[in-house]
Amino acid sequence: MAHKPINIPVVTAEPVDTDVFIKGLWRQNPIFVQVLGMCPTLAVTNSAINALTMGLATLFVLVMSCGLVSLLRRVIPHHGRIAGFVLIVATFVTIADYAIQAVSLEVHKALGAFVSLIVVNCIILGRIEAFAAKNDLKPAVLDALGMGLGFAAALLVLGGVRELLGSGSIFGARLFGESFAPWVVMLLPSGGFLVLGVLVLGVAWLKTGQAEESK
Amino acid sequence: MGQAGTGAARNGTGPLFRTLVGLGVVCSALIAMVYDLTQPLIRQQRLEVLEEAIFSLWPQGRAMQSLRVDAAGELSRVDAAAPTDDVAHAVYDANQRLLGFAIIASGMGYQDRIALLYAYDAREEQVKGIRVLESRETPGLGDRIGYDKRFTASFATLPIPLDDDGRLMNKLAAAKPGTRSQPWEIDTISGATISSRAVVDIVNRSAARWLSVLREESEKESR
Amino acid sequence: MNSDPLWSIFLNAALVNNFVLAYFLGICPFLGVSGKLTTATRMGLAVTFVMVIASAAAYLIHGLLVWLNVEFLQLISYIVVIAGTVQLVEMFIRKASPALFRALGIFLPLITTNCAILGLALFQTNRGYGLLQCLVFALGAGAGFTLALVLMAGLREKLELVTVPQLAKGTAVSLMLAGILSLTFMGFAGIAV
Repeated sequence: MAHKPINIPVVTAEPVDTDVFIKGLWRQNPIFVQVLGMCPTLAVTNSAINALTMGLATLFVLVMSCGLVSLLRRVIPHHGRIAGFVLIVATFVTIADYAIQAVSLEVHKALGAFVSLIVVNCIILGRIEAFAAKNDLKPAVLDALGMGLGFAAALLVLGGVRELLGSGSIFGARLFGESFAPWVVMLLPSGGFLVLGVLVLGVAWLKTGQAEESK
Repeated sequence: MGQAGTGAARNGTGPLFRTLVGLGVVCSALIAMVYDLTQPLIRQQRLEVLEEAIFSLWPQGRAMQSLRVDAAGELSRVDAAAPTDDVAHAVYDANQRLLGFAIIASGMGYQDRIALLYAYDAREEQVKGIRVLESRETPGLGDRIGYDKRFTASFATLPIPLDDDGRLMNKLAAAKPGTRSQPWEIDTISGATISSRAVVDIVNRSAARWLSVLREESEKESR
Repeated sequence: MNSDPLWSIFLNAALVNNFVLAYFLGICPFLGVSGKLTTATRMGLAVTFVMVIASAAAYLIHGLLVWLNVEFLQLISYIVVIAGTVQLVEMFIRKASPALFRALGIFLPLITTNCAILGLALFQTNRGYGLLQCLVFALGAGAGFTLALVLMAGLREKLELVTVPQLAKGTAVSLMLAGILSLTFMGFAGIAV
C-alpha cells in the first residue's frame, strides 16, 4: 500500500456514530436545509401516500447503494468512480421499481416515471461521493439511514401539508366537513414550489432561533 | 484488492474499463434475477386489476378473451396477461354467450398519459360504461374523471352508432358543464375541462379504430 | 405507437407541461445556476443540445433492448448512454469549437446528473414516441427548459435591487418566485389540444 488513493482517508471515530445518524434528520436535512433532490420532492408530493412511498423507495436505494459503495470503495478505480456509483444506484432503483410494482400496482401508477428518476436524485450521488466512498460500512450505512429518513420525513411533511390544504384530507381520510373548500392550487405544481418555499423559510427561522438560544 | 484499485487509478484505462464492465455485468445479472422473481407477481396483479375492471363494466360477465387488431383490420386472439394497452376484450356470460366488448384506450391527458377501459355493446350500438385504469391527473381536479358520478354516468348508455361503412355517425363531443343537449354529448367536469376533453378524445380515436371490427365480430358470433 | 401531432408535442413540452415548472425536472440548475442571464442562456442551450442527442440515442437503445427482449435493463442502459453522450459531446465540442467549449464547457459534466435528460428519455419511452416525435419532444423540452431558466434569471437580476428579508434570501425566495412563475404557466393549459 505504498501509494494509497488520495481519496480514501478512513474516518472511524466511535462517538461520532450518533451524530452521523442524527445530522441528516434535522441539522443537515437534505430537503429543508441542503435543498437537494428537488425533482422527486416536488413532483410526487401531491398526496401523503405518494410522498411516503417515494421517501421509502429513496431510503432503500440510498442505504443499499451507500453500503455497497463503502464495501467496494477500494475496488472501484478512482477515475471511473462516478460511472461505477451510477451503475450501482441504477441497479437498486430498478430493483425498488419492480418491488413496488409487485406489491402495489396502484402506487406504482401514481408515481410513474419518478421512481426511475431516483437515479439522478442529487442526494444519493452526493452522499456516496461525500461520505460512503470514504468511510467504513457502519458509518456509511448510518449516514445513509439518517439522510434517507430525513428525506422521507421531509417528503411526508410536504405531501401532508399539500394534501391537507389541497383536498382537505390526510392519507385519503377526510378531516373537514363538506363545507371545506379545497385550496386546489396547493396540489398543482405551483403549490409545490410555494409550500416548499414556506417550509424552507420556516426551518431557517427555527434554526436561527436555536442558534440564538445556544449563545 | 487495494493494489488493483491503486493500479487502475494510476495506469490508463484498461483496468478501469475491466472493472466497470465487470460491475455492469454483475448489476445486470442482479436486475435480471429480481425481474424474474417479481414478474409473475406483477402479471398476476395486472390481470386481477384488469379482470376486476372488465367485470365491473359487465356485471354478468364470467369469461373474457383478449383481441388485437392489425393494420389490415384483422382480429387475432392474444393472451390476456400480455402487458399491452392496445387490446379489446370480448366478454362472455355464464352460458358462453357474447355480452359485448371492453376496449382499452389511451392518450395524453393534462399531466401525462391516461389509460381507460370502455364497454361497447355492439348490438345496441352503445357505450355502456367507462373506467379509468391509469392516470396521473391532479388529485382532486383532473383525477375526478375517474370517480365523478355525473361524468361517468354520461357514458353509461351513450349511443355511438356506425353507418354501413363502419364509420362513426356522430363523434362524441364534450359539452360545457350542464349544457348537454345532444345524446352524443358528454358533460365535462368543471375544473377538469382538459382532462374530461382528453377522455372524450381518447374514446373517439379508439372507437374509430375498433368499433366496426368489433361489430363484425359480434355479428359473426351471433350467427 | 403514439399518434400525437408534432406541433402539439412541441408546444406541450415547451409550455403546457414545461419540464421545469410542471414536472420539476432539472430544478437543481434552475435554482442554482440561474443567477445571470448569459449563464442561464448558455446552460439552456447546452441542455437542449444534449437532450436532442440523448433522445435519439435513447430511442435506438430502447429499440435494441426490445429486440433483445431485455427491457428490464432500460434504466441502467439509459443512464450509461446519457453519461456516454455527455462525454462524447464534451470531447467533440472541445475539438471542433474551442470557443463554444469555453462557453458551455463547465456545464457539460453537470448535465449528466440532470434529471431533465433522464426524464426525457423515460417519458418518450412511456409515451411510445417514434424517432421524429422523440426529436421534436427533445427540442420542445429543451426550449421549455431554456425559457424557464432565462425567465428565472431575469427575475433574479431584478431581485438584486430589492430588499428581501435576510432569512428568505436565496432558496426560499427563489422557490416562491418559481411558484408564481409556474402559476402563470398554467395559463397555457388552455392551448392544450
